[in-house]
Amino acid sequence: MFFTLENCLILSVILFSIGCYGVLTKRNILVILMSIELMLNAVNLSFISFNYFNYNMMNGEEMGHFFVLVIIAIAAAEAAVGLAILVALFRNRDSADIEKLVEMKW
Amino acid sequence: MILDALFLINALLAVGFAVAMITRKNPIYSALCLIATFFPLAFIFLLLWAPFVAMIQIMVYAGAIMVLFVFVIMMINTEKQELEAGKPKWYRRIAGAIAFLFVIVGFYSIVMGINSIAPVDSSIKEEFGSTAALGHLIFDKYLIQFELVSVLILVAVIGAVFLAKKNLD
Amino acid sequence: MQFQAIYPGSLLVAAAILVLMAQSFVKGEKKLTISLIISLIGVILAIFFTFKLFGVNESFYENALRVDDFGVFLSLVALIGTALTILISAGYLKKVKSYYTEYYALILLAACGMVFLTISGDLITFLIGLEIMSISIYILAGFNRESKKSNEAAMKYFILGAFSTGFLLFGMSMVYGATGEIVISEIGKAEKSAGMLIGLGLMLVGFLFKIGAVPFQNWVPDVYEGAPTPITAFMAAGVKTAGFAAFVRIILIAFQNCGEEWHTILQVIAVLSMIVGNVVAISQRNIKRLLAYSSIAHTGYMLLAFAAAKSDPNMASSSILFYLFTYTFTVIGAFGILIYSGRENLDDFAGFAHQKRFMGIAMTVFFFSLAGIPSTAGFMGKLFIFMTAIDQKLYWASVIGIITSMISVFYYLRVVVYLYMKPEVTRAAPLTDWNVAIASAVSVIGVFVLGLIPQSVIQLILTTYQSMLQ
Repeated sequence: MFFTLENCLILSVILFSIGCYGVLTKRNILVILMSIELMLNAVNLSFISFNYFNYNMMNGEEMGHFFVLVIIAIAAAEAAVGLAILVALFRNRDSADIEKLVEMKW
Repeated sequence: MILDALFLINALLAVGFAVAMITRKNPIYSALCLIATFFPLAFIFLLLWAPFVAMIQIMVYAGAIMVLFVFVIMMINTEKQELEAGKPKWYRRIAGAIAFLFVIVGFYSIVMGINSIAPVDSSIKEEFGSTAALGHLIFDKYLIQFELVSVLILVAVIGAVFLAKKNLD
Repeated sequence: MQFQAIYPGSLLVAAAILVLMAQSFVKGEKKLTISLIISLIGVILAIFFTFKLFGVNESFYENALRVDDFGVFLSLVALIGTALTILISAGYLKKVKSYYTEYYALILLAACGMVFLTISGDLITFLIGLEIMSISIYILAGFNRESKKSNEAAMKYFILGAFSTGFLLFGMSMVYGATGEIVISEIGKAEKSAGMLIGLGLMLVGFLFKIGAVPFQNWVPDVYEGAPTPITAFMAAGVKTAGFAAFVRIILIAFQNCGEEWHTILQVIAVLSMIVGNVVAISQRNIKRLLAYSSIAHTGYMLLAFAAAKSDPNMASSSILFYLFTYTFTVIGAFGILIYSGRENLDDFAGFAHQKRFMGIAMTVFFFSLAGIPSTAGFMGKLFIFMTAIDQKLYWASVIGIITSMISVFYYLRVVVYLYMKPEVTRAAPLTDWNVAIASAVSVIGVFVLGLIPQSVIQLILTTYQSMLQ
């Protein structure tokens, strides 16, 4: 039996951790933004699997599905704004390296 | 049995592509790997009775968001020297590794404590997760939240246009 | 009347759209004036309609919105902060010669997010309100597109903000999985479980980031320094108010059965925030950075009151509400004067009070209030908080709080010393700016009213916790 809530959540946690690791270690801002997208996707998986496996507890309502739709909208908005900030940043300094953001010390 | 096999294959594919995403040096390969991660995830959503969300996952994430990423990667054209010097500083690596372990271990113990009652397939409503059911939810019960999302999109549109446009006025 | 709950928010969105449309009809400097008037009218109408919501205490739209005195009071505080921010922004935009009125639209939309965040009844409304607010602030932080500092501040704020949103969302999914509910009051009825606890932990990470408490405070000084000054004021006042509103509501209502766990954590975080904020602030020469570190310390004071919520949640939430109210006036006033003078460094302020007498007095009042000198609002706020903490026997945390608060008097008074005692330097006196002057006058009045006759406000606040439970 692989297809259980535990395994779905473990998959979600692994993806979340990979995203988390990416945000903390990568230097290219683009890859950091992608890692954030991966984290949000892991959250989606967790919502959907809760909604399915705890079907009776949720009275058969698709609240989790609606939550995921909202998260996808948020992810889209964040990606658009994040990339716009990156473009504005890039216009002024020609670099997408986070270690070079040293105008003010961290 | 077939469900287990499908889940396992897709889970391994998703993790594999996710790891590939954060280990690539060139951001364009990372973007492609991330797109590849979304497909097995969408397949798992199908297994979990969420066909509508699975479609949205493909259309919005893989279709719209990642295209935006690829577009920006092409536009800002990261130079070569930066790709070579892309190694993280040692303290960032340690922080990342600690975070990784912490998250995995912490969650694993909790995940084991969560009890679930997997429904028998016959007990699930026929229309669970279908477009019609979600439509009722969005335009009836959660109408106000749905309308608020439009304000969020408005903010994103204003911001993206303002920040990214070359010459204002 | 279901609609009354969304009047304030919809008015703010309508005003934002009007501001955006006005651009195509007027040009040049007139554009700024028109937008300023539209946004001020919008905010004042929103304040009026929010005020009418006092005493409603009902849930609307299938529990999506929970209009109670607690939320309404904090909406009002956030909206007053918005109105003052708009006034000081007018002075700033004129000074930096920026004619982009998207600025006002984004402030109004952020205020809309804050209003919905403070009166959110379920996790989805809460999440969307939070995101509307945060995304607007990310953009506003990077509003000076040509300035490297502004770009950098926006980028740092964005990455860390989105990262913490991920944790917040994972926490929500755990809570949802453990209880099967997304309505905040229903979650509160569920029993304690493993899923609830991990959800609490993850959501705490997200919240503590938003309010800038210690382990997650790294972004605060950089973002405060790099963002345009009025936006820094907005972050310190409005975002913090809305963040605390959601924080208090979710922790006290949704996690009321998980009490023992978070008190100790919050106490430690409060102590660390007070120490780090106040000690590091001593060495700062840039006043924006100084106020950033002081804002970390003020977050610490409020968390100290929060840690006392174990046996007396009413007093704890009341003192946080009162402190937020006083802090809004004080900090926006202080940043307003930075805009008025057009200076940021401590040395540049030498002799400023001799050039502009009234502004010098106002700045003295604000810094006295931040330091907590008696007869100002800051003193009453701190008194309220330390009384609550000592009542709940948080002795060592209160002692550390009082000691660090004494340390803080040193660096606040140093600014006042520079204002008056230092000989005049070569910098020319700034031009008079009436918008900022009005905002400062309102803030000075607010500081003294809350410092000298706070009884009516306190009476109003003391019933808010009950209204949340009804």
